[in-house]
Amino acid sequence: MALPNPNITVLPTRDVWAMATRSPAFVTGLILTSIILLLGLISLVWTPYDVSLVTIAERLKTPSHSHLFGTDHFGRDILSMIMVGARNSIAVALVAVGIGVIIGVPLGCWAAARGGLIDASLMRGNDVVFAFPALLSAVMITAIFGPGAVNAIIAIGIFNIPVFARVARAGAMAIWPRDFILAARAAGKSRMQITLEHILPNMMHLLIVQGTIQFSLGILAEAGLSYLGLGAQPPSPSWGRMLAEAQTMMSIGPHTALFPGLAIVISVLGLNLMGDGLRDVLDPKLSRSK
Amino acid sequence: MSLLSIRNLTLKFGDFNVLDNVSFDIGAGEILGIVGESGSGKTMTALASIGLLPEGAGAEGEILFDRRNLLEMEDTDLCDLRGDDIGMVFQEPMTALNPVRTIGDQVAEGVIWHTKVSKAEALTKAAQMLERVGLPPVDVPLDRYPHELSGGQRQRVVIAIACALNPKLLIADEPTTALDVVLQAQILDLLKSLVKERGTGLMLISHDLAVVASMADKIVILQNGKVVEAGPAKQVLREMRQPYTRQLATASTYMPKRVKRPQGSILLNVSNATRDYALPRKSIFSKQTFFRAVDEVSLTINEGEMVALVGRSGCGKSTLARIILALHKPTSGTIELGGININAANEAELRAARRQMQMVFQDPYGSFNPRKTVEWLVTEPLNLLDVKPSRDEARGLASNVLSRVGLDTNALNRYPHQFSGGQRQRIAIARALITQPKLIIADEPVSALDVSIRAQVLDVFAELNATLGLACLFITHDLHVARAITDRVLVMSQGRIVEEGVTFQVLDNPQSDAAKELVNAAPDLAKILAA
Repeated sequence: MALPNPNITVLPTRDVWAMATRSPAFVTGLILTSIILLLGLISLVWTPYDVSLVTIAERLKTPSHSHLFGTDHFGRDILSMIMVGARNSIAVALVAVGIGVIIGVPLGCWAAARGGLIDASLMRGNDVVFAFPALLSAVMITAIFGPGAVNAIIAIGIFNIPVFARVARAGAMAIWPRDFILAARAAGKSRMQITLEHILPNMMHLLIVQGTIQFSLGILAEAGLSYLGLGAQPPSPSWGRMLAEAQTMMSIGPHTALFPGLAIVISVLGLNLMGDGLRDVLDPKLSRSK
Repeated sequence: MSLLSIRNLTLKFGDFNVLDNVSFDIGAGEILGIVGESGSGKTMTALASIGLLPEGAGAEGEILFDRRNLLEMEDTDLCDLRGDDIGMVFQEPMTALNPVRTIGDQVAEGVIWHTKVSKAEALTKAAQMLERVGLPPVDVPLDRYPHELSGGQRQRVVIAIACALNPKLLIADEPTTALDVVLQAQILDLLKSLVKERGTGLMLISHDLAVVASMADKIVILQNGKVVEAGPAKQVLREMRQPYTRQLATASTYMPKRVKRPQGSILLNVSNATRDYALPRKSIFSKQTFFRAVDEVSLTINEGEMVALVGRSGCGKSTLARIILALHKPTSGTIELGGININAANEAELRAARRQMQMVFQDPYGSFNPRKTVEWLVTEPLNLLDVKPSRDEARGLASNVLSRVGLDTNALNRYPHQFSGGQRQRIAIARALITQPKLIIADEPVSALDVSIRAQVLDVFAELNATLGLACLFITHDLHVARAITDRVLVMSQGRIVEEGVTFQVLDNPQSDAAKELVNAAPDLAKILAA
């Protein structure tokens, strides 16, 4: 007698939201992430100062009323740079996750739907991509094709593809043997239709959790690349490059390193907390808290 | 003084009373059966008796075990009790065993923990215990893993774990619900002999009156957390003073009203269908070996005929159903439905064939996509029509079939989780009806349901057969269901059909070994009470 499979929990969306907002990790993460998002959004219409405005007389000013986060060694306003940098980081990470989702999820679903040779070859290809250390390879790609935001996006995006392919395949494989899929097949639905109508909606939660985590990894990767000078190019500010430039100023202007560092920490921590909180709600089996 | 004595036990989750003033006693060597439908509080009674209530449960009253109140004991003291003085047998043997540890280790674990003996001694004890439950180490070595055993063997291991330390009280929560009738009879025999031999008290929880009647000395009938009736098992079941007891008993042997229909022409013709599954290779060089799930099966179903397919679990019933529905391809053989050979059919012919046959599954929870509305789910098979109906037309068709199965039109906008098991099974039938099929294949459609709900769903099938002339292939291991609703029965064993005939003739006078085994093992309330 087959009993209801407890491994797949399905909650209606509003319950997920209600449960998630009760999780302290999720709420903290949400607040931190919103701060960064808000900074990025505001920078589209307004920043305290022009980020390319160099005022040598105002250089290395510590935080004050006129410059809340102080100024760097060119006299640029650090708060403005952080705001524009937030926009850059988010854009790079978002598009990179998008690449992973748009290519990886269909691949994973296809592998799960067809099985056999297609599944085996797709997943072994996946393993090959996985075998390269992601950040090192991204450095290689940007070094070959030239530094810049677009190449950074592509480099990070490529390594998101196998992650999403794997998650999607595992999620889909757990749903395929269920009775409602058999019912859909008896209703003459094609594998494609079944994937769109039955499989995807039921594994959305897995993808959302993985998406949040990949998003934070994307921000970290972007910061790493631009720290090496391989990300967004000057004068467009980026957190990683701000850190790199602040390195030499550490002894005379520690605030120049503090604020971009904090921005990275807050955004990565926020997204990870959000992902963890969501996972606790959506996937009780992996929950670390009780 | 009895072994376990529950006094005025009330159990609350918030304001909701799960158990309300429940009292009963179990003496040494005594079997107490607790019967009730889902949600009646049976499992909570069991968990309370072993001190494993979930968090947030507020318990009042007394649970006296050996004169000590479990509700007032510290968790560390309870740990000494559990597994040593009180053993527990769970419903699902697959999930009750740890898949990465050998059965010997799992039986020895409790012995080591409670008696502080060496591992070697504990393993010797485990071997003796496993031998006692019918798994002699010569045949089933201690270093086997749970997945290497069959369902019945796994349940024996669970019983060995529970009995290894000779507990004073054994709690068995639906110990045979996951097993077929033949295994059920074996496991019940084992429990009975263990209890007799060791003077253990047994709390047997079941939804099946016949099982309890055949086993228990005393019976407690629970409804919504209240004790409806309690007393000596046979007396209670013979007298049936309470209407609820009578209702349970009649529902479990319920026969829906059937209208005799004239036999139509042949609708489904299966000839020599065979299905092999590739077994994993021993090494990459060894020859591919196969397991034959369905072996040269031939059968016919006429229009408007109700046919039962009975057999033990793993005999190939479900595989056969899937072959007929063209969800699995047969390795060889042909399946013809209304003159169309569905294995050689093109896309359009296959759609036409699928319109003629639909299926209903066992598990009312797993057979719907939880994220779609009932309207979406019920109209899904309309995908098979050549001319797709408009949304309004589809909605009209959906409300028609829903009213046929006794559901309101306002069900359309709701989600499956808002319905009870029985209602969901009606929705599943509605979904199967929407393309106006001639044949419905129902795979254990009532075995996950409570007896009273089961009766209602059987009524729906009988009514559809009478009014629409719907033919039905009922796959079941429950002979009551076969008797209640079908004209003809096919008995399947190890992939073959071994016996076939008019239902009551085959079930009253079985000829093949497989059919005899099934009939003898099936518990029959009337026979038990007459004895």
